[in-house]
Amino acid sequence: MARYLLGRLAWLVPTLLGIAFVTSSVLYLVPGDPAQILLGEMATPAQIQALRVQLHLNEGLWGRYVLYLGDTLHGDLGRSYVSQKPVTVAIAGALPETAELALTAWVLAAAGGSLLGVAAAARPGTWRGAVVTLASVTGFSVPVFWLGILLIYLFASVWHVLPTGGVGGIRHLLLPAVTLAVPSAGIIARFVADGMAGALGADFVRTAAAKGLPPWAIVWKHAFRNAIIPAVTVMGLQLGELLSGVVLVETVFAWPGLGRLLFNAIGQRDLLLIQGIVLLLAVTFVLVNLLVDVAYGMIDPRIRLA
Amino acid sequence: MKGDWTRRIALGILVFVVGAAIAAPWIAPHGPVAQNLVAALKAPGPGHWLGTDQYGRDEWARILYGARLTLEIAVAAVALGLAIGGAIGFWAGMAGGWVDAVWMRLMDIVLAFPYLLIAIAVVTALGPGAFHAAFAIGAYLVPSAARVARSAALSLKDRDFVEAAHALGAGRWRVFARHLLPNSLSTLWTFAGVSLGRAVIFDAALSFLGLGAQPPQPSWGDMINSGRDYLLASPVLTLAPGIAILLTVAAFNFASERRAGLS
Amino acid sequence: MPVDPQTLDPHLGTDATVAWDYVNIYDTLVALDPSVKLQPSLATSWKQMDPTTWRFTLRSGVKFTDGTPFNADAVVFNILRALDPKDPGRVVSSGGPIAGAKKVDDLTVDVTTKGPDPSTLYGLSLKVVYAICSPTAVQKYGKDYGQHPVGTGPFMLKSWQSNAQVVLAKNPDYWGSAPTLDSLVFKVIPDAGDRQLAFQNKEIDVLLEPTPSQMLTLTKLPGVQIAKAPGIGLSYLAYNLRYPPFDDVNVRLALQHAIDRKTICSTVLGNLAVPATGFMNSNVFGYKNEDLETVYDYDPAKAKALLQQAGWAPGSGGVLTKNGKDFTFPLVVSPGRVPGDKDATVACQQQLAQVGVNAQIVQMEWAPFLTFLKTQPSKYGMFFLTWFAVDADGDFGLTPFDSTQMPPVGINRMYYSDATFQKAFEAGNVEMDPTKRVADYTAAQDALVKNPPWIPLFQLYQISVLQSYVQGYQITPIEYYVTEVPGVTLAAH
Repeated sequence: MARYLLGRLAWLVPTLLGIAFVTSSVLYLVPGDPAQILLGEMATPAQIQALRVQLHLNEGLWGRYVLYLGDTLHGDLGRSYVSQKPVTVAIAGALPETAELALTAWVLAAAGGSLLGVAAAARPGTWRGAVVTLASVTGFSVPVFWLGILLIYLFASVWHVLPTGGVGGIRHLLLPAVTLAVPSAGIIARFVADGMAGALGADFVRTAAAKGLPPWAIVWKHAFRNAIIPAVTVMGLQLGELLSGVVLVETVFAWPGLGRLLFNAIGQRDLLLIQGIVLLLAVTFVLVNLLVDVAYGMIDPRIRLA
Repeated sequence: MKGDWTRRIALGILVFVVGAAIAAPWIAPHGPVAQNLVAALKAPGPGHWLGTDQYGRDEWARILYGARLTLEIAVAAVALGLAIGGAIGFWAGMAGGWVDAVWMRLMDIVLAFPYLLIAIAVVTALGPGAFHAAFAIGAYLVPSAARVARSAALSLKDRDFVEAAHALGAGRWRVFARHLLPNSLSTLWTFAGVSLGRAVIFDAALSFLGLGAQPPQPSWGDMINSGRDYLLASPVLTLAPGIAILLTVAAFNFASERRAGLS
Repeated sequence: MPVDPQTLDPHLGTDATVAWDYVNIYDTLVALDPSVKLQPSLATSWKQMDPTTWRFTLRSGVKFTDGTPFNADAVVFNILRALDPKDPGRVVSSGGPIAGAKKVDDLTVDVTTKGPDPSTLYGLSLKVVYAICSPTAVQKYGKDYGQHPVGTGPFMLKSWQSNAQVVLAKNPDYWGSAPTLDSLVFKVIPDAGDRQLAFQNKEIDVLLEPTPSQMLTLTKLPGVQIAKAPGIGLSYLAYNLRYPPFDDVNVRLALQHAIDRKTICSTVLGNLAVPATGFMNSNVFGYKNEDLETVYDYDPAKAKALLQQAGWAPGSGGVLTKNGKDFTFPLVVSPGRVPGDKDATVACQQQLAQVGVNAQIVQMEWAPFLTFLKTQPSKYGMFFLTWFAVDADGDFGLTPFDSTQMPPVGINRMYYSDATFQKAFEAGNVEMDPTKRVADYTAAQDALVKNPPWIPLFQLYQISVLQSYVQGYQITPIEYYVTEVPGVTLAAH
């Protein structure tokens, strides 16, 4: 186990360095001189030169990368050129909102997906199983932005029971969290159902059935416990997928999180802010995956560093 | 069995969508961009099955032509992703060792960036448009295609017939072309089916954000985006393209899933 | 409002939407009233000392909301800050007339201009540039001042959650008539459809800048009030004269007949706008009614005939060709800047197609759009934009056609140059006699009609949609924002 953990951690370093390299080169992706773009149309050559020095743009790709790493490790991500806020402050303002939304959606997806998956596997070949299968495939086939609009229309406009968007307690959280959760729930349901189908056919379940245990006990106490293990990986990966979905869902629901901050920043070519948010999202994704792998390794000792 | 009828329905929808895409110029009652400003926002009825949008364009015609545009982009994206990702995956899988490790670590780094970010970054750098959207979606598919191809290569590498071919002195290319590729086709085909579904969704997301095909081209995502402004006046303008996306993606998912025998 | 203000530092922001917040936080030396007349504000009176110097007498006893006294030092500090090239004074460096400011005594300030400039007072009324900030707060917060704005206006910043809402509280010590509302909440809702639903759910009391689609449904709701004033902007399709065939004046003249302004206004724009009648907004000083309805009448057949005379013959697929080249070009637009901009562009694209001209629309976000126009003159044939002559003066209103203002230094993104226009325009800019000035600007606009750089499209109204219980709401044409919120009351609801 220790060796497995060490191996995983050893891979973490080059991965993070690679991510930092990609984000540090974001500035070079944009056509034109980043300093000119940041300072606007009327900047003087002296201003541009000063900013080029500050952004290490005169150092070339590799030189800039090294200096950028240094700044980042000191917690300095620069300032947004539009709001003049330090990038770390702008991110800190939006991060809690996205965390709240993504984690709620993730819990909903994991719980809803598991329930659906168990329901599908417990009744294979019946109309109930078919309906559940249909629901899960529909879930991961629906475009989230459209689903969000549809839910806003129904709940806010037709039935007047929930607000259209914005923040302010559980009533505001409900629609965006459900919207974000639906595709992930569909995928999780699929994996839980597969795992359940396998587990229900396994020897120990048959033994339990032979002992005369009631069906609910077989399903939940025996089969589900075993089926959940492979599904854990998927649930972890889905937390990463949710980070993609937030860009769309936050835009649709006027949710003031990282996704909208990022989308606006892209629209305004606010390069340092884009760089900061992309770095944060990618690092979060990698760390979540690491945690999932470690958790998986603990549950299932057969797994070793692949 | 239930599997049969769901798959039949899925294939039926796919045949319809592909048929609509090909035959749009003949079956659409109006042109997709022909405006009639004085007949704007007509409710569904005879002459305009799904009504008209704010420019008086026929919504049904735009859905049909939209299928064409969407499928073109999706197929181009999947072809690109499979070509590049497949090449990387087979190379890594066949070579093994550090080549394999380096490639797969690189793919992990790319995968660490949420997909929409990759697409937005690519389109921001290149400028919006259908062609660039296809490129962005293709780029997103590369790492997963590489993983699929790699695992196919790994599972075949130690099979008897491959080892026998090596023993008989067949070169790498020959082994690849004669044995690995033909035996991986069904896996790749399934991957392509699922990827087409995802490509359709991502294309819709990009054009919803204004980064995909540009107006007046009838793109489903853009139709949702502009229909949304008229949600209360004419909900069908938002509902119809959304349902078109949902049906197409679900059909791709069902069709390819049954092939793979996942459930 | 559709976007977050990002910064409330008036010397920094370039986005008109932020003005909705500014207007309530800050004051200027002089102000424009709803009929576009100059009124005293922080200055009680002013007179011209010599052609380049204006002397202002300041209001006494005014305090910033952080307690700092308002005086001549504060005015000088602000004007110098706005002009400081090392500070990011991007707005002013774009060619404002002001050269400097000097304290005379505690309540008297001299403002100097670069040359004799009749538009000086209008310029000083601009809140996005010459709003007076508290010098203490600016020095205290430094680069973070934009997040901690302090002014002398009727309201002050209470809280601000980025991308969600800005909350302003009543300034109890306001020097003017006290505001009737205790607080103002500006909610950020990016999508037009959502703003409309939020309004219908009574989550918001006032909907600013409705879109054509919103007008369509909201005007049908019982009790909803519409506050309307003529706007100050002019929306247009611009030609890029560096992109053939738009270098050919005959082509530009021909296409003037291809666009049906009237129908666009009454259909896709939902009567949110009136057709343009000249090359400036009709509320701008020096405007000439060029009777475009007759001069550039909508007549596709005439447009086609004129294009044929210019050498363009019908080719394959209905697109005109000349010397083996199709009449195809990119038409760039940044949707969401003004209500209905994308809709109008798509409608124009189709009307151009009717005469055999193939415009390919490219949508861009605002910042990339501006960078693109500035740096890629060979990549666009036309663009859609709205020009706001924010100080309501002809100098500013005609600046886009100034041949000394081509990128990278300025905003003449058409690369337009016309000797007759330039001469009349420059004469008007330094002419202190209003009658002669109008004559100069009239000649300038007549030159534009003969050698058009744009297809003028429409003037949007300034509109707010109000819930039935909102009373006393006033709206003005200037700067594309609402003013005078102090008088508003909300009846019980």
